[in-house]
Formats: sequence, C-alpha cells, structure tokens
Amino acid sequence: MDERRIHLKVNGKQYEEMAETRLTLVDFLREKLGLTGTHIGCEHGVCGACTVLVNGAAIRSCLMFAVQADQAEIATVESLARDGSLHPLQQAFWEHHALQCGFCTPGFLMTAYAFLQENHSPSADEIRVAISGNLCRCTGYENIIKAIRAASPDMKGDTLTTDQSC
Amino acid sequence: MKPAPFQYHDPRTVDEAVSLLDELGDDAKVLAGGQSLVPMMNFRLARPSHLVDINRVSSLDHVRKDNHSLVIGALARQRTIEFSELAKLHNPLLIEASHHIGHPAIRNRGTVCGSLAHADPAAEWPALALVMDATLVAQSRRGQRRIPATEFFTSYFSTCLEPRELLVEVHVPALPSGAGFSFLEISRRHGDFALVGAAVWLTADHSGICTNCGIALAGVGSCAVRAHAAEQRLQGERLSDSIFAEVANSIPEELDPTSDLHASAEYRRKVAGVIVRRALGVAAERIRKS
Amino acid sequence: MTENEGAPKDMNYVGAPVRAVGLGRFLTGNGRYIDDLKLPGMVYLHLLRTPYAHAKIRSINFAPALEYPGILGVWTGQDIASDIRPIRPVLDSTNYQGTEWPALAREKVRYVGEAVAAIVAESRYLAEDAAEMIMVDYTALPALSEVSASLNSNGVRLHEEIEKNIFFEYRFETANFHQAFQQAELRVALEFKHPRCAGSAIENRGVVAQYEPGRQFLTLWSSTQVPDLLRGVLGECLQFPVHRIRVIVPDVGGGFGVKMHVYPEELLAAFLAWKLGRPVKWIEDRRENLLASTHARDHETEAEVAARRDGTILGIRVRDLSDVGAYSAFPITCALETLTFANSVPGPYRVENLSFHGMAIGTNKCPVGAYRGVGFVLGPLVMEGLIDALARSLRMDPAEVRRRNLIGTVPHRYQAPTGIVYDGGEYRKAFEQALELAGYYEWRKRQTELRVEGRYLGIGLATFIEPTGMGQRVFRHRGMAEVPGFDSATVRMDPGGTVRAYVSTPSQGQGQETTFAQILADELGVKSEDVIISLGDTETCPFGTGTFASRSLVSGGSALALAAREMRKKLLCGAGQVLRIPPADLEIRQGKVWVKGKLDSVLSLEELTRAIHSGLYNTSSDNLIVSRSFSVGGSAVSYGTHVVVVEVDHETGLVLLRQYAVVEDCGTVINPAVVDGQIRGGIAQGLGTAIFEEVRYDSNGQLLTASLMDYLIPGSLEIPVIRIEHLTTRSPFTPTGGKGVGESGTIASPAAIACAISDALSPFDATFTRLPIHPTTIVEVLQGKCPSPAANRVDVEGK
Repeated sequence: MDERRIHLKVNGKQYEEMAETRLTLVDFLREKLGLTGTHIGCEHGVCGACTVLVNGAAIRSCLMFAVQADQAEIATVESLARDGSLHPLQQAFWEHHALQCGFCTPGFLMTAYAFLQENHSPSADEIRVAISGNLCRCTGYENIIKAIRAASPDMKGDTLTTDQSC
Repeated sequence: MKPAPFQYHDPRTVDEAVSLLDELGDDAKVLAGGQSLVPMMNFRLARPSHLVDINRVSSLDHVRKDNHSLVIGALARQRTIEFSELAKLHNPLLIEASHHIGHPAIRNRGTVCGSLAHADPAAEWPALALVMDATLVAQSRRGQRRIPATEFFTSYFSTCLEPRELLVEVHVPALPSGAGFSFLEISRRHGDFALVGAAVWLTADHSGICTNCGIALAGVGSCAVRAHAAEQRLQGERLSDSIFAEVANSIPEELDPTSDLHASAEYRRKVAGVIVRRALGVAAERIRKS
Repeated sequence: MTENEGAPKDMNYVGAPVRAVGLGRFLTGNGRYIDDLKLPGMVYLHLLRTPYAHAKIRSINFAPALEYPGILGVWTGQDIASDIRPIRPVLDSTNYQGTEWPALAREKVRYVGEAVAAIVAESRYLAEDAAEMIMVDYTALPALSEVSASLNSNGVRLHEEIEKNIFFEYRFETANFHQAFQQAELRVALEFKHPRCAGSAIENRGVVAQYEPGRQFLTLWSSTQVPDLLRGVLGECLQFPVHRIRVIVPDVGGGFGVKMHVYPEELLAAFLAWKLGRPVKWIEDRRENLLASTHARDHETEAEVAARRDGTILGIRVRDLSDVGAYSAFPITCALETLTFANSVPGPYRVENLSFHGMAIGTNKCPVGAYRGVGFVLGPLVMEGLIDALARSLRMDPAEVRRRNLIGTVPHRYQAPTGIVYDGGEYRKAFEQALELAGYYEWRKRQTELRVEGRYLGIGLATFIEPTGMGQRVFRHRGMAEVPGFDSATVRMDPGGTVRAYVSTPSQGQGQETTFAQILADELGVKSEDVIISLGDTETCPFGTGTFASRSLVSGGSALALAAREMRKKLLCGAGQVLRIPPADLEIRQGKVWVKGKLDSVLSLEELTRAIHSGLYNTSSDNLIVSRSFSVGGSAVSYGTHVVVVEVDHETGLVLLRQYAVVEDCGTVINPAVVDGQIRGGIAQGLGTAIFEEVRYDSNGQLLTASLMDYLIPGSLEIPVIRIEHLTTRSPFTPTGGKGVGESGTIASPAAIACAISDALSPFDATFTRLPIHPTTIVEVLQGKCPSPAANRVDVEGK
C-alpha cells in the first residue's frame, strides 16, 4: 500500500495523519477525521455535495486525493458556526427554508461562503450562476437563492476563523 | 466508486517530472487539476499504476505576456484565466469561454493545459487553441517541442503528446487590436459539455470589410475544428447579417460530427451553423461598439 | 363521528410558517445520515454486479479475492440460497404474475447491475479491489431490452412461469364507453411516451446492520421509507424472529419513493452481520444508484379522446405499455404504474366514459418501483395533450376547452368513473385563479406579437388530482397486500410537562419533525418547543405503513391528531381530579391549565404531569400515553392547476421557462413554507423528466446513463421562479383537514411543459408528446427530418 504522512490544517486545527495515496480528500475528512458534515453524492464531480474550501477556494473534495492537501488549509461546513451560534449564512438558510433533507446543504454553504467572499451584494442571477454546480433534489433552488441573497450584507470582511477546533 | 491503487509521485521541478515520465512511460498519468482524470479513476475507467502529480511544480504556475502572446503555464487554473487582467487586456475571448467551463469549483482546480492535453472534442480550450493558432510546448528529457495547435489534436481524447512528454505551457496569441470576438455554446444544462460550441474573432477595416477572422468549433467531430472554408468566405466581405448567414450555411458541410446521448449528428451539424452565425453577429457588434 | 369532532378552537401553529425544527443539525454538518454511522469493528459490504443484461451463471470463482488483504469473505447466490429467501411481493389479482427477487442472483442474471457476489472487507477500497478478482463465467442469453422484444421474444422468458413476460394486466371500461365513442363528432388520437427515470436523491442508499449475540438481537439502520415493512421482510426472508429485529431510520437525504422498497442489500447486510458477528455497512455509490436502485415510469401510451364540436369530451381511451424491468418491487409491485395511471384519468375533468387497458411487461432492465407522482403523472400528460390537440383541431382556446370540461365546485364525495372519490374542492376556481396568476391572456397577446418576430412563446396548462395518504381501502382495492394502509402515533407526556410523540411515518426531508409538532402543539394546547417528534424507530414508534405516496400528513399526522385529542381529554380528566373542578370547565392553552373564563392559569402542565405521575390522585390517566391509528376513510385528493410559459429557440431546440404559476389545494396548510417547498421541489423533478432526464439502455440492455454526466438533473439555472397560491378546502376525512402535497409538483409539471412546448411550436404543426423533449427532437422535427406524433384526427361523418 502506497501511503504518505500528511500535515494539514482543517477548520483551524492542525493534523498529522497517514493516508493511503488513493484515499480521496472527502473520505479522509469523513473517515480519518470524523468530520462527516461533508457528504458524498456522486464521486465524479457533478453534484457538489462534497464541496470544501482548500486554501480558501471551493473545490470538489471527491476529486482530490488527501495527499494533495499536505500543507493546505481546509475549511469544511463544521467551521461555519462560531461558539454555538450559527453563521449568518446558516441562519439565512434556516429562515428562508433553504433546505429540506439537508444532504446537499453543506456543499451549498461552502460554495456560497466562497462566492460571497468575492461578491458582496450579488443579484439573484449571479447567485444562480454561482450555485449552478451544486445539485439539490428537494428544494427547487429558489429558497437557496433567497437565503444567499439575504446573507450577503453580513458577509463584508468576514473570514472563516482559523482558530476553530471541532 | 473508489480508485484502484497507484504509486504516487509529486515532483517539485519540471526536470523531476519529465524524468519520472521517461522512466514510467505508459504506466503513468499526469495529474494536474484532476477534474477529468479523477472521475475516470473513481469509475476505474482509468487505472494508471503511477500518478505524477505536478501540482507542486511551482515553476509551472504562471500566466505572463510574451511578445504578442499570453503564456499560460501548466498549473494555471481555469479560474486564473477567468479573472486574469492580462487576459482581459489581450484576449478577452478566453475569459468569455471560461464562463462556460464547468462550474466555479471545477475551474478552481482544472487547468488550461490539462484541458488541452485531455483533448475532449467538446471542451472549450481545444477550440480556443485552434482559433488563436496557439503553440503548445511539450517538455521531455530529450528537450522541448513546440507544437502548433493544428498538429496537436489527433482524435477523440488523443493528442500527439508522447507518454514521456509533459505539456508545460501554451502560447496563445493576443487578439488583434480592434478585434471583435464571441464564444457561444449550446449545452443541455449550464456548465455541461458543449453540444456545439463556437469560438470566433474578426477584424474589419473602417468601411466594415472583414480583414481577418478565426472560426473554430467544439463538439462537432473527433477533434475541435477550424472552419477554414467559412473563414475564407468571410474574408474581404462587408460584415452583415446576410453574409453571416451565408457563411453559417457553409459550415455544416465541413463537419463530420457524431451522435450520442445528448445530441444527434444532424443536430450538431445544423446548430453549428446557427451558433457561428450568432457568434459572428456578436463579434461584429463588439467591433461596432469599440 | 366526523373527523373534525374535538378539533382545537385556536390554531397558533397550524398554518404558520413555523421555522423548521431540527434543521440546525443539517446546517452545522451534524446530521446523522446512514454513511455517518460508525460502529466498533464495522466492516464494509460491496457487491459485484453483473455486466450482462440476461445470462446464465455457469460458475463463480472467488478464490483469488479471498487472498486479497483485508477481505473477510465472499458469498454468492448459491452460498446464501437456503439462508435468505427472495423478495416476492404479493398482489391480490389474477392478472398478476409474481417474481422472486433473490438477494444474490442464482442460476441467472436478469439485468445489468444485478448483484452476483457479496464481498466483505475492512474498507470499501479493498472490497472494490477484490471484486475485480472474482471470475464469473456467464452464458449470454438474448437480452429483452424493450417491451416489444419481451412481447415477441420467441419464447425467451425472464422468469420461467411468466408467459410473454407479461407481469400484470389491467382493464377498466365504463358500461357505455363504446356508445359514447360512436356518438362522438370527432376523435383525436396521440401517442405518448414517458421516459424511464431515476429518482436520484443526492444521498445514495445505505444500510448498517449489527447483530448482538448476547441478546440475539438484530439492529438495522437503513435509509428506508418503510421501517415497519422492512422489519417484516427481514424477519421473513432471514427466518429471524421479528420481535428481535429493530429497524432504525437515520436522517435520510431524500427518498422520493426510491427508498420505499425493500432491497437485496438490506437482506444481505443483515444476514452477513448476523453470520460474521461484526457490524456490516453497505453504502451505494452513484453508479450503483443509477444502475440498480429502482427506476420509474417508462410508458408507451396510445390515447384517444372522443368529443363534440363544442369541445365537450365524451370519452377517453387509453392503451398503455409499462416497462417494469426484471423484478417486481416490494411492497407496491410492478402493478403500481399501471394502476395509478388508470386512476389518474380523467383527473379533474367530467368525463363519464373511460376505457383503460394497461400491461406491465418485464424486460432485462433494473426493476421499476415508485417515484414521486408514480402513474398519476401520466393522467395529466395524456389528458392535457389530448385536450390541446382537440383545441387545435377545433381552433378553440385551450383554456376554454378545459373550462367546458372541468368539474366545478364539488361537494365532498364526488365519484369519478374510476371509482376514486374526490373529497371536495373548487376545481374551476383553481383553474381560473391560475390563469390569472400567470397572466394567461396577456401572454396570449404577447405570443401573437412575438410570432411575427419569429419568436416562439408557448403556454401550457395542466390540471391534476393527487390522491394522497391512501388508506386501507385503496390498497385492498388495488390488491397491494403488502401495504397495510394505516399509520399510527403514540403521544406521551414526560415528567416536565413536555410531550413526546412517535409516529410511523419517517422523514426523508419533508419536515415532519416540524409539521407534526405544529399539529400536536395546537391539538394539545402546548408550545411547539415543548414537543419532540420521534420518527423511524420500530422500537418506539407504533406500527404503520411508512412514508410514501404523500401520506405522512394524512395518515401519520391524522393518527397524531387523534392521539393528541385523546391525550388532551386524559389531561383534562386528570386536572379535574387534581383541582376538583369538572373537566368541562377546564381548558389547556400555552402549556397550562385554565379555568374557562378566568384570567389566570391554575396549573402548568409540568405540575399536572407531576401530580398525575405521583400516584397521589385517583386519576385513571396516570399512564399518560395514548396510541392511535388512522386510515383515511374517504379520500384526501389534492388538486390544482399549473400554468407554464416557455420560449423555444427553434434553431437550437433549447427551452427557456419564462414563467411558472401554480394554484393548488391541499386542504388545511400546516406549514406554508414546507408545503411550498414540496411543490417547488416536485416541479423541479417534473421539469427534469420533461426536458432532461432519461434512463437509457442500448439494445443489449447495457445502461448508457450510468453517471450524472449523462443522467441530467436540473440545476439552479434550469428551474424558474414559481408563483404559488393556495385554495384551502378542508378535507372532511382528516382531523386536521389537511391533505398531502408531496407529489403535486411532479404530477402536473411534465404535462404543462410538454403542452407549452407544443403550443410554442404549433405554427410548425408540431406536437411533442414524447418525453423528454430533447433539443435534438425539436430541431429535427422542425426540420422535417423526423415526424412528430401529430394528432390523428378522425371526423366522424354526418354528426
């Protein structure tokens, strides 16, 4: 078995783990670190349920190997809430009924988080484009778009803290 | 859908990378963005025994201007081009095409050179490389090869790259000054592979006569296609809707597309003409405005 | 007793868009879905699936796989033949041929993706490696890859006992049908196709099984919609005592009917956990999901309408072939699509004469099961397609033809010719209101203007009925012997005066944790924060049918309301004893007991519960637990109208949805946000099958759409903004007055969109009744390169 020792920061916490080289990042996060908030929907990069941030960029963690994340900083959905309080984005999703079964939600949250870092007051159309790579089978998307729009004004200057432990 | 086991290599320099490729030959695949390769590995349709991950070869991560071309290194992400000031200035056609490439998360990892090396005939970059007469630079232990885009793509998912070669950069000429351009794509859903795509640019003199143009198509055959006959038809003509329609009508004859789940050959043939016509219209409008 | 007796006077929660309970855990990544479960010593099951559509298995050599590191064992169909009985759902009908679906294929395989071997390993990665080392020797048999092949197979049979591969047949005809058809002044016939589709919840299926040798107890966690039915099948198929089985439903990431069947993997995981003494986990991947989780729909239909020249419909004739794949699914059987289709015609139209003939044909494809809307989708597809064709023939406004045929305001108990009872509603009002909401007449004007410019706008109308929460009577009538048809709820007071409720209808995202709490809070007079709803555990939840067919509110929610009313009586009785005041003078509000007419409360529920539990008072209600069951006696038929406006780019065949409007009546709306969410999600799925989604096989029975790159699920840019308005005709047959709504979006949307596209391209004399409506189809039809199924119009002479 080909394996490597990797060092990476996940949600502000430093980890050192052995990983088989073919272990995908999503499996590493879920199985090795027990961070099961990131979900697997397709393992071929279409559904977006596995979206996490790697060095601040939203990526599909089913299409990356854990060993590629050596020395990287990862943020998963578990990093959004702070001291038991929901992040404004999470709050907005709740208030706008932007989830039903919740399975695709972590992927949408991370995609939206990264998007709102760059676009502080997006139009509904811009949001539709930004989330077009995340599939939802329950909601029909409308409430997700409303929630992201509602969350935008609160996002200015926000950074996912690197001092969160999970 | 877990990938088969492989030996993983992560070289830090181009020399290391090409040495590995030289040694491993057919048994190795290069991993850059992984947005095309890793799905195939997860399906076990691709099972390289060795993976050469070039993501740590920092010398490949660049976009720079060189004379009249943009030089895009093998690690430049699709997203980098999408937001590149250099691209905005010198070749905004590339940026317009970027918006059609998958979705933001795909573009954060996927690379321009990766798309070129993968050579999916429905992808955007092979058509861009053709329409701009790009030059692709392949490196191996034996040295460097500069390959014109016209020679690079050989068939479905096939290029003239040899297993020991690494595509290190692509030189994409700037659009001529004053050029109009358009990238249009028809797909089933936003972000899907093109059923048909067109990359178009043209220049005209002050009386509206076309002085030069480029028309290339994606999704219409085993490779991206440069529509030479259509270009020749357009050169020297006054830009107008009727000439665009005429040029567009000549397109289907040049094409030999296939049918698949998403579109028939007949559809691709016909719609190729339609989007070339529309793209020429947009490009001409952009000249008028500038 | 009508269902409304004992209903609460004040509704604080029902009707309010109460923020959904429990979503916090999903938002923070703390959901507990099946793949999140980890047990000590857990091992992983993986299935080797056949690449043959139809073949005899000659031998399986798995010795090399056993040598691979981390492999605990490999099992084949022969190994488990005497240990696991096949799944054999029953339909009480002489026209039904049952099939046996084995946990692992034995002598032969019948569809690509059928499991032939089970591998258990320390990791899924290792199991997949080992699977590749297993050598299976097949003798290929002719693949019956479509219905016509199955019917004309020259003796090739999927199952030895089933002649011509006809699994089920159903005929229904009204007495005067032929006469009515003869009296017609014109007849219009069309062909329809609804593609095979795949529910494709974002969460794939999964199961974790654990056997405790000490207690001799089997626990199965499964992403199932039917925990009680699954428990029963486990007991029977494994010959394991049912009272020693517990089925737990974790958080489920969408079900849509696909997760309501009992699958071989559930039996295998349970059996292997029992044999190995280690917990066994099986998680489906997306390829398997598209290959081997049940598919749906797949109809080829011919239909004809007989009418008078004023647009009045005299009769409808339907002939349907339903491709049901290789095996009948449990519990609803392969008859589901045929029977539900038959019941969805004529829908909300006043048509007295019907003739329906449907056949369910087996093929070498994945079994077909339930998927949101089921055969009810076909009724509107056929009716609305025929009506629009009729309108075009008569040069009448399609809205006017509908107006002339819609039932108007119906009292409770309108019986359709199919025998279904519609329980009241204002069908024509919903229709007119939808036209107004959409701006139908403005769009018609716009359509005319744009045609001059060479732009093609189209308007589609679809009215529908949605039978929901069907009870015992319906399932007995259908012959679905495996579906009980009732659901149950237990309500229990906890010492703190808080309320626990357990209901037999689990969630896959429909929000029962919230809506049930709203119902309970209003019925009991407590705050919804003081209520906890528990679902999906056979240890604590009372027996019932489960969640599918839009039943959780009607069936589970009604049982809950009744149990709550009973509990309220008990509490008042107990309060009466404690306070020595007649219960009739007391009431419960906001979690407290009040004397009617007095300003201050006299007792909190916490105090009351403590008092009753103390045993100090002579209360007969010291148990403070009530369990009730419910099966809807009449019916709970929701209905409505969809109006969709599309623009078709006739040069590329791309369809843009310009507007979507819905007026819908599902009775009392418990939570508007939940209801609207269900409608939007349903429309997204219906839109999917109208334009994007199709499961396709080639002529060798090989699945062509084995990834999400080929099976196209609509994304955010494909779904329009949807305007929704509600009518609320209380159902007299449920205590809350509420009806189901889960499937209404899916039922009408394919019809509305198909009609809109046909309407847009009617200047080209093109009709589109075969779904999905591909850009290729549009372009080729307009080019004249392939014929559209243009309406065959027959004018009967002299009438």
